Amino acid sequence: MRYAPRPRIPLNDYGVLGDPPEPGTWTPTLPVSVIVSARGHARSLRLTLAGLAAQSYPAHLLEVIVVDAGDGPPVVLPDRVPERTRVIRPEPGTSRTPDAGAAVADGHVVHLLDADLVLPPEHIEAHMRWHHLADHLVVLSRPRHAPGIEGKRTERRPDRTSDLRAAGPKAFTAMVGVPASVPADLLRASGGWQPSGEYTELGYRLAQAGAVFLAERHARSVRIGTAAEPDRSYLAEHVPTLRRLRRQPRRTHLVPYVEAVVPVGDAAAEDVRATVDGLLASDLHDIVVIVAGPPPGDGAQAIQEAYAGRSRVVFAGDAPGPASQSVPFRFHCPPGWVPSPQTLGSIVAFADRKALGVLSLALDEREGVVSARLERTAAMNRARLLARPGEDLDDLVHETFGTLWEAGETWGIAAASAPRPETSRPEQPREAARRSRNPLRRVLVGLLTRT
Amino acid sequence: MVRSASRAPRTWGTSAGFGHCPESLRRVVDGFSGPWHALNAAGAPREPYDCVVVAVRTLSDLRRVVPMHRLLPSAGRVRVALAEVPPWATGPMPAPGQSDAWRHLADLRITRTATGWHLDASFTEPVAAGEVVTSVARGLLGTGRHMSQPVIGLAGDHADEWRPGDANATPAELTLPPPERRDAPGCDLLLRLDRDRDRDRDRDRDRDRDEVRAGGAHIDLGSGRDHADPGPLPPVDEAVINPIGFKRHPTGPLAVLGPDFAVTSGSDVLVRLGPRGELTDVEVARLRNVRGVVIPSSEGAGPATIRMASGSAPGLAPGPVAEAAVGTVARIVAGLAAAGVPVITRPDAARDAVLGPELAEAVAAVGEEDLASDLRREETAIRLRGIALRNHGAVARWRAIASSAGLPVPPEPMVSVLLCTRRPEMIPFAVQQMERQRGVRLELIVGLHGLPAGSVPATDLPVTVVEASGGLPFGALLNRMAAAASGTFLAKVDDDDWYGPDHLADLLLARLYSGADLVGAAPEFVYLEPVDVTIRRRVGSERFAPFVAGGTMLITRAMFDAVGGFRPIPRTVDGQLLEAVQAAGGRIYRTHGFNYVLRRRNAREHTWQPPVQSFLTSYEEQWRGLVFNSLMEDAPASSPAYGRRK
Repeated sequence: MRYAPRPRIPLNDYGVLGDPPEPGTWTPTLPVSVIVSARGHARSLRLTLAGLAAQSYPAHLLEVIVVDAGDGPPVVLPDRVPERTRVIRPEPGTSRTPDAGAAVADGHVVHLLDADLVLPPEHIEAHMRWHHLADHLVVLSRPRHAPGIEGKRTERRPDRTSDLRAAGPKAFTAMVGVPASVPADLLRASGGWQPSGEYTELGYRLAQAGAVFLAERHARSVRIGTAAEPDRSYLAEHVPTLRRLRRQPRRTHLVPYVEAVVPVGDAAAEDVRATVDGLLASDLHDIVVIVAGPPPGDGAQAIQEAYAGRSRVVFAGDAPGPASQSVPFRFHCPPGWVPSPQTLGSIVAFADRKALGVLSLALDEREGVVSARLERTAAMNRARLLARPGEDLDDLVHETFGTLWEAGETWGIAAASAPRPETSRPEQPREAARRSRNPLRRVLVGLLTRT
Repeated sequence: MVRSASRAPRTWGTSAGFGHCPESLRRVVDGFSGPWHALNAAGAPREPYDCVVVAVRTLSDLRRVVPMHRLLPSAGRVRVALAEVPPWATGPMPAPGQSDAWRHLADLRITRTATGWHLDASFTEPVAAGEVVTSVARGLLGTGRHMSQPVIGLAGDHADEWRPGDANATPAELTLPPPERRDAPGCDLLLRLDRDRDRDRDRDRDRDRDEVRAGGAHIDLGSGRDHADPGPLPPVDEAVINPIGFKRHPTGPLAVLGPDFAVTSGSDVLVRLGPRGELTDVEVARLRNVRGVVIPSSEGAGPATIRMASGSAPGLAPGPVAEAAVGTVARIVAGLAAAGVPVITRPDAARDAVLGPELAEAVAAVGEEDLASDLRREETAIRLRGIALRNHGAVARWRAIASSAGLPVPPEPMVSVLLCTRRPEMIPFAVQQMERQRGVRLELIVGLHGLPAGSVPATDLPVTVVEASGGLPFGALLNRMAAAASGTFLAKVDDDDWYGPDHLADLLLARLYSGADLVGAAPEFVYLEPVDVTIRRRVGSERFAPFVAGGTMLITRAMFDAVGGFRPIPRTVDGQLLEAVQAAGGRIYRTHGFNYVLRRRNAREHTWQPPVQSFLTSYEEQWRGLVFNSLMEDAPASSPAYGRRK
């Protein structure tokens, strides 16, 4: 039986887990599959496997899968290997990466290694002690470089953020390579290991799936090879939250930054178009607009035709489910409400500054409250991971990331029927909105003298 | 214009509050440099002068001159110089009252100076300067703080600190019996502050304590009880040492009370307090931006003997210094706490004995972490100042002194709570909220607006039920309820809002220190039911302001009757009452909102409310769900019909 503790970790602050047990003082129960990518490191594989054979982690809980992805001669296992060691060699044309191993691994945790790493005996145990505390942790440890081999990437982040505890939603950027250990379920949920093998992109997808990243200083290792350089253009397309890689104006990318959903419902066609037009006019260009739900009668055709030439508008039969988890933010905007060009950019920046999981924007109050809503995918998926039956997802988002209600007007969302107010300068849309003496504030005087 | 008079005008001057900053006294009055006379009951001048100059440093010092006003001579010209005022004070407009003086007024000039005010009044014939000073004090700070009875005789140095603002006190001389009044004894109680001339504390220790003695021969306290102990500390003058002007977001760090009673922040000296721990409104105003004041504990100070005898200033001899310091520090702690300046200090047995157990315990419970967040700091400040004002405020202290001297004390004023409802399901909830009010005498007037009788649950509170048909305008029903009320104050409460247990007590306290005719809380905390969020709004509190939350209004019966009650209309009666009070010349004070959570219901239940998004445009803090601050002390959950999870 799998033990799946689910403590509620706020943002990336895993301090709530307490101190992990000291190596040698606890009893492990979870099986781990160590996946060793032998690509290009066939000669040092012997050292890596010898290190794995000497681990303090119980042998019956440890299996090793060597992924022979090299183009050279088949890998030959040396004499000294862990008890349960297999070699898999993917068929030509299929994935050559550790994912091939992850697909066949039957451990609870997948521990990713390269064959140029030399491990001291407590390496695996130091990682695994964390996985016994929570089931959505990604444990990272930083190898030292062997003398004479220059490390290409020195990564200082864990030092600046108290070992990632204070890193917030950006913690995944610390995942730049192996060693890294991931719960197998989380790895599957995140979509597995993509062919091009960028660890930062894997980290991004794990974060989107709800992972918490943790830097383990006591899991030592020495790299005797050289680490690969990241492919920046690949990351620019696949990791929208690395904003510094997306500096070209008015460019779209493979994975958009915000997915705006306009549920059509029984709204009039002109209301839907007003909202979609408002979204498309956003200064934040890196978005896709999903028009969801069956459009009503005659208007359907009109809406479809209006956006036939716009690649950034997608029609969906129904509101998209939680599956499209590669997009970091989703913005739900009811038809008939038009965001200003600055709205999307400023609410996303605001949500990032406050590390919000959900930002709700009250627009109007009729029978109930009409609202727009910005969701952070990582927060929603974390909540889905943690939710017990009957629990409200937003409650969990609030516990882990944070939720906030604001007025739509503050962020420049106006009714389609209302005359457009003069848009404020894009530099400081929020401040401008905050300062404006809007009519609603005057209404508040009435509250003070409420009967 | 230079007047070339044949004879130099005879000018008599007195000053108060410049003891530790004499250099500013030289600057405060143009054309007069002294001599400055002390107000002395023995040698009060009787003949009229050409001009009387009264120079006071702060409002607190002006309040100390008032009980001694009979000792001022009369003059044809009276100048009152107020060296410094806090930002919240109004100008020194005299409130004439019955005084004869103002009928002879020839010229009155009120001028703002760099930091204060100067008032120059000329009269057609000599008038009692004391009456002019009293009128000025009344105009600045109002009246009606329930302190005039019994009549107190004040004898000895600094006795004036004990009855600040009491124009009906009787100045007396230590060695002489207090002067008689017409057909009445001069005072009911005589407060004597003996001068400790020889400093020999071992001898005659009991005699050099402050004493309250029965004044006239007509009061017999019984054998062996010829004096009562007023306590070692002079009371805190609520009218000037109070939370008015409290800053909820202080910009400064923690300050420290150093030696020679300077409050410092880093290397800056923020204020220097008087050698006997005098804290005035001006010092409080300067300390508004500090997060709190750290009071170092006076290690090694001798136990218990606290001497506030006038001569024992620090810096003379080690023994008395330590003892005086304990009393002085206690006085500073009580003053700061009453003003809403949080203090941090370790327990100190000698000092805590002076502060009294309740305040000592509350002060000891404050740690630095309590002041780290602005919200918690404000909770701490509210808690401390309530205790300090209720224990050391002049009104409370004199009730206790009079009672310990065996004089009958009138009952605490009663508050009539007006609760009007159309929703029978909310009545138990509302009654429960009033049952948990503490520190206040109250009766409940329930108005059933179109409901059958018998909807009111059994309660220990005195209840009067007023029934009316649903067609009667809301305002008219409230007036009928007020007519059935017997309290000195009328408090309006709403049936669906939450009230902390100190709600009414804090409103009464705010009325006491503000002197306002109507007080209410700021609607800071609002529970937005439609989106299940509690917000704290940006509403300025602890200030005179034209609006208060309708469900928290507390008005004096006198002002209520003066404006003729509520307007007999169905809606917005609260706003109309506020307008009427202002039109009648009354003042409205808005105190903190920590004892009140307004419930913003769903739109379908209250269609005239402001839309929910308007609350979200100007909030300061936000919590998910229904969240109470700690002063609400676990407010009861609502009735099941409206219950939400906490």
